[in-house]
Amino acid sequence: MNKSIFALSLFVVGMSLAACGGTSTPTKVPATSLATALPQAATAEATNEATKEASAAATKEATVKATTKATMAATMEATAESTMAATKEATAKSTTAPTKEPTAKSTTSVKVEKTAESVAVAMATAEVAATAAPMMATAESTAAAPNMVSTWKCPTGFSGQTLSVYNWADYIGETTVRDFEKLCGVKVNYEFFENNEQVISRLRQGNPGYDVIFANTYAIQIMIRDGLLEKIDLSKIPNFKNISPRWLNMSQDPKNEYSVPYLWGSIGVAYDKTKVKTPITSWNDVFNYDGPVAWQEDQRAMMGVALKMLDYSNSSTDPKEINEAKDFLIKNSKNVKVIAADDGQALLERGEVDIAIEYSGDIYQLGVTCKCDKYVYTIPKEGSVADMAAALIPKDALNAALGHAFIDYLNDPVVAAQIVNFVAYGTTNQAAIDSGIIPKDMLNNSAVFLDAATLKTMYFTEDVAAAEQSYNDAWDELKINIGK
Amino acid sequence: MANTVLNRTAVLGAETQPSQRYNPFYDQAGRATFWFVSVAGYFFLWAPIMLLVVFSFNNSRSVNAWHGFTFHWYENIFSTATGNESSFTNSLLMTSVVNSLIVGFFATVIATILGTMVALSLVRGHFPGKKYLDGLLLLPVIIPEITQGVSLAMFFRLIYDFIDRSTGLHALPGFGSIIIGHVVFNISYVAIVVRARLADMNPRLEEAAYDLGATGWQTFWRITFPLMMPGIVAGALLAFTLSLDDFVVTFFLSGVGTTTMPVFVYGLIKKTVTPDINAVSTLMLIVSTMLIGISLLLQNRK
Repeated sequence: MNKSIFALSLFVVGMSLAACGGTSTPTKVPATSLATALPQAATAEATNEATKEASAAATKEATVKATTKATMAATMEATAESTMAATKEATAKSTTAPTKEPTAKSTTSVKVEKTAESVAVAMATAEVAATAAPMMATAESTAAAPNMVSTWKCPTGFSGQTLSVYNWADYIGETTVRDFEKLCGVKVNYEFFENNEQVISRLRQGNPGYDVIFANTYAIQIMIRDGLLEKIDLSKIPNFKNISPRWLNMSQDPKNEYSVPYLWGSIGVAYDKTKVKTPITSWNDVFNYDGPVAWQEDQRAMMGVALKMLDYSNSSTDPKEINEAKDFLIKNSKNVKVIAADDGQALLERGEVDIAIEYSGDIYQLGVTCKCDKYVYTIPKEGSVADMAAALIPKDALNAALGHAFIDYLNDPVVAAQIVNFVAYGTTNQAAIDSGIIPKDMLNNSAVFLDAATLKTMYFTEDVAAAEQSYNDAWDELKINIGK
Repeated sequence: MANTVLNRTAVLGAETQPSQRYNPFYDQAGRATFWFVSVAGYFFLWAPIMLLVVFSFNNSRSVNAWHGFTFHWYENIFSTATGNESSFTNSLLMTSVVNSLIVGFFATVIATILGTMVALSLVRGHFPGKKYLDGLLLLPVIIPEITQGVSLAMFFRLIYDFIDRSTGLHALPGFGSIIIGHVVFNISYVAIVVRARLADMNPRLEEAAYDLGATGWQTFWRITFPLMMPGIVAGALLAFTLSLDDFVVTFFLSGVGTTTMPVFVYGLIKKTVTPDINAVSTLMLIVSTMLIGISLLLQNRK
């Protein structure tokens, strides 16, 4: 009896050890980051606290006082003075991209200015904002004294109503929704979804009451085809004119009857430049790299890249071409360690892979979190997938009129710029780019905005309807045969 | 050692084969390995959770690399809970926790009442079809949650269509649908726990009460109910924990403005998982563990 217990225990131990052998290496805690990050973290803590207190105090003040109309001249002056004080304190040229602080600062100035306080108060705000300034790099752009005050007025008659919005997480400014609630006197139910398929399936079950939703281009195509969206009345969205023509009249909605462009981003190659010695310029560099690489769990993106490398359309519906793309990917998958379900940036950070195919915003976030510049985001010369998200109004929305007002609000230049400053994705709103509120190094950051030449090489994912199953099958086969 | 273990030779006699005689090596090695396997098993199960708890103290927005120790995230939660301004995502997180608690409370109350009734009728009652009810009760425990979620979603869709056609009211999923969904699977768990407690109870006590002239109602409230109480509370705590943690069924049934915490965290995965989530999860872990612990203690009391 005891012998058999012993044997059984050994067997169990043996099996568990065998199972462990197949798993990946455990998480490494980078020793260097501990030492160097601590002082940085301490200052970050202090500035976080200062800004939090400042914004808390200022917003409390603003909500107590009635929002009276402030003359533009006085506001401009006050803003100019406060930003001048800030620039004096601001450290020159920092390489790290700005964090949330700029948004907090601009909203505190906005709130106080709106109540037409004296310049002395504005100076006080500027001082508080200035103490938070070490994190900012807005020296050049604010010197031009852009209009930081959002002049958007809410149409009357919405007070007391409720708006329901369905969007990705962290895809809107920090205070955007709260400001909208205050401006219109409404309550906003704001909910997160994970991916486009979730939006489509939710709407197909019957709209549970969302007024405004967001989705990418190919999902918009599917939803229009299935009749899940309501037509948007552009006369209720005067700020529509701010949107850059480059993002209008796209193939999924040629007359922009259903969608209003919002933000755009790209999938590109992110790598740790301390490990990858030669800069990546082509997809072949990624495929031939001698080290661990992570691909993206985005079927259409990866297949699109492969199709393009073979000179086919990235949204091809020809099963033969799709198969060739799948074989191309399998052939080039020797160094693939994992197909990351949107956590490629985490793998990079932990050092488990040297190269990751990731979304632009994730890599930008990574740079901000690690407060370092060893991660490079680049688009290979053959081009890559870009995608645009647009605001939509689904059928059976409970409050479509308020939804229109919200979309109009999002396209106000100041609001759109503040959104960009927070989420670090490219905006489709040209007026926001021209407003000067977005710092120069973000406008030049390839993880956020792409220059015109690179933009030309980008391609969009389109709906493939009938061929959807071919893509699914190809993707499944790829996952089974990867690395072989 | 030899005294505490069954001595084969003494039992089977001197005719035993050498291989059958007691060998202390196997005994001790067996125990040691068993102990090792148990510890290793616990570690395997708890290590990821411990990692979650550790990173809730991470001094950085990242949950992948350790940057130092801080209580910052817990402070965030408590300051948001006490009404101060906080980050947008944080305030939505707290709203979802409140939603979770609301759903949990109502689902627990309803499920406990119904579950107790079912348990009583199964143990004390005699009616045709009792066997089938017994089997049906186990279904929500056995059926995969995804099946339950999808079928409930379709069921509610039918109901809403019916209401729409017959009264013109445009019914929408909301707290009602989520609570009903939770009650559906919670009834089973409560009934199982209360049944266990009832089975332990001596039916003679109730018979004695009847003999002494008490009515059915009096018997129930004065004898059965107080004796069942630990079981009912245990079942209620279990139901509350299950309701708080439930993701799949809630995901399929939620409407607008009814996001519970697990569904909320799921929505965050694509963009950012900050240690905020770790902190809230740690707190929920502590609460759930305490509740389950109390539930188990109550079940074991005589």
